[in-house]
Amino acid sequence: MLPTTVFGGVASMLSATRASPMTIIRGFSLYANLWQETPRRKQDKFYKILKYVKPVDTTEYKAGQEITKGLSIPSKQKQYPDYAYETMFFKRQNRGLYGGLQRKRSKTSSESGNKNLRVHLPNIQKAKLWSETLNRAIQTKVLTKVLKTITKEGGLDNYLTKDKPARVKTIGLKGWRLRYEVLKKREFNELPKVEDASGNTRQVYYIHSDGKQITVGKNKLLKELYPLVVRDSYTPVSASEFRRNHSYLTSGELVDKLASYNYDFSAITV
Amino acid sequence: MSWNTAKKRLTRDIEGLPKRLRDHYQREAIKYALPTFDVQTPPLLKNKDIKSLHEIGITEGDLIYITEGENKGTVTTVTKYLSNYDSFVVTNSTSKRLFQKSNWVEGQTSHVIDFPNFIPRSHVRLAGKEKDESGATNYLVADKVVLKDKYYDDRYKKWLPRRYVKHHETIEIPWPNPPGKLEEGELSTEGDAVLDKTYELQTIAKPPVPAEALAQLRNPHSKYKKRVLSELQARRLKAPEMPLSTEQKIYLAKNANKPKKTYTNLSPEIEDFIGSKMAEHISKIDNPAMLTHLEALSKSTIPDFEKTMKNIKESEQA
Repeated sequence: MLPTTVFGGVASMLSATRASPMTIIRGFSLYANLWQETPRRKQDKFYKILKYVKPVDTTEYKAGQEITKGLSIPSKQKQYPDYAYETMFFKRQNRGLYGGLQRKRSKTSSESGNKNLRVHLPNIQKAKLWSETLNRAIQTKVLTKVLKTITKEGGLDNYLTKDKPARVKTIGLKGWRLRYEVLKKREFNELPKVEDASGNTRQVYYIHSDGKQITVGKNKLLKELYPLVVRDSYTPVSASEFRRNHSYLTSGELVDKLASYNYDFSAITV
Repeated sequence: MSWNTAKKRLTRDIEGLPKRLRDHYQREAIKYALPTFDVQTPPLLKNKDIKSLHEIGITEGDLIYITEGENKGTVTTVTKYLSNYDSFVVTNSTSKRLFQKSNWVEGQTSHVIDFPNFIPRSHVRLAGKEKDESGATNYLVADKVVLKDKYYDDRYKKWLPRRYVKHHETIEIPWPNPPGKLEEGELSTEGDAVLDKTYELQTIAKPPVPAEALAQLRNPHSKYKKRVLSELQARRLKAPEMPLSTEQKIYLAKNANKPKKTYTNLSPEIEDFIGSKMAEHISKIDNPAMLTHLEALSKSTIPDFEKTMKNIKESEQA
């Protein structure tokens, strides 16, 4: 009897019950390929960045939750999304576009054989890169290798907004922040410019879930909300107190809040 | 070798060098300073080498004999011990120094002031004064001092060792009077009142402090208190979300249109077929070890298999 049929039998037998054929046959390298349904997964590329990254706290914090020991609360609202691949070594790569490359080390050797450590830096250059979306030049340190990639991708914005895992890992902290700015700007650019009753074109800043097209930003919304909150309170509400308790609200939450006071949206909607 | 070690290797550590070289580098450091401007401070001691007054056996108010330098051979009184320089400031030993206006102290009217000389401890010996029967004053200088036994000194309000001259341990040099009398503060307790008992706990059933007073006694900002996040704090801890790129939006839109994958159980015919194949092949296995191995293997749980079975159950219920 051929060994293939024996293993084939065992394999089908176990796949019907619980184990996949590969679990049994892993030891037999000779026959392993016979039952391989999908091609072998290509090894992930090795990134030194993955060796030592700054840990990101993914806990969802809510009001009323107990403050655990050692939890440091930032003094300001976070401006950018957390980056899971912020490195803790060769930190200048967090301040420019380094494409996941670090310095390398080697030894110099004198004629008499004494060894001394030295480093080889990647080819770092200062550059002003034009961002089509942001409509401004971004001055940054950048590797010549990354410059080549940017050219290949067809511009800085394309380089920053590519979704491949490798790009996300090698983009660096600065790149991640630029990516956020670019995507935010693109989101804004998608919002319509609408003509109002008097024939003026007005930029829509926010579209609410009920379809309201708000033509003012968050600060103006807060300004509209302040007198309503003051009127509603039995005790005096100072401007700073109001700002402390309301400035963290999103545009959507502010619109909901205004709606709860039966606010007339006609002046700020189209 | 790491880079840090490599760097450290090249830095000069004066502490490890012999005294001759240490002095040389000290001199090099102050070479260009004008003598009248320079305060000529002795080298700073390391924290572990710093000693208190009573540890070194000489304290403020003591008579000392100076063995070296400008004031060699004189007996003076200690006004201050500078523990981080291991030096003494004594009465009647000053020199004129220039001070730039930015360094002036309050009440100073001239650039030139009498600055006290720092006399290192190695140039100082403890001295004692005694009067003999004829009334003449005699001085005694101790080359070294031994600290032995402990007694409670009422003047200092603490336990102090007794000082003896080394190798002449019948001669005791008592500690001098403390320079200033300890001032009574607003919150200090008088010595006589320390042992007075003004309150005695009668029962442990009743708390000694009334419940209403507790809020005033306790620290509302204590770090040991359990604290909860406010809305603002919770928001500050949350980073904004990265917006989706165009490709991601397209992918999600495509997936939303796709019908959900349904899992079905094996049909009875397939189950029978697999069962018969299993039986056929197991009957052909002679090796008991192989059979035991397969038996053990069949009992192992595989997460993916469990997940599939769960999916089947869910789709059947739906």
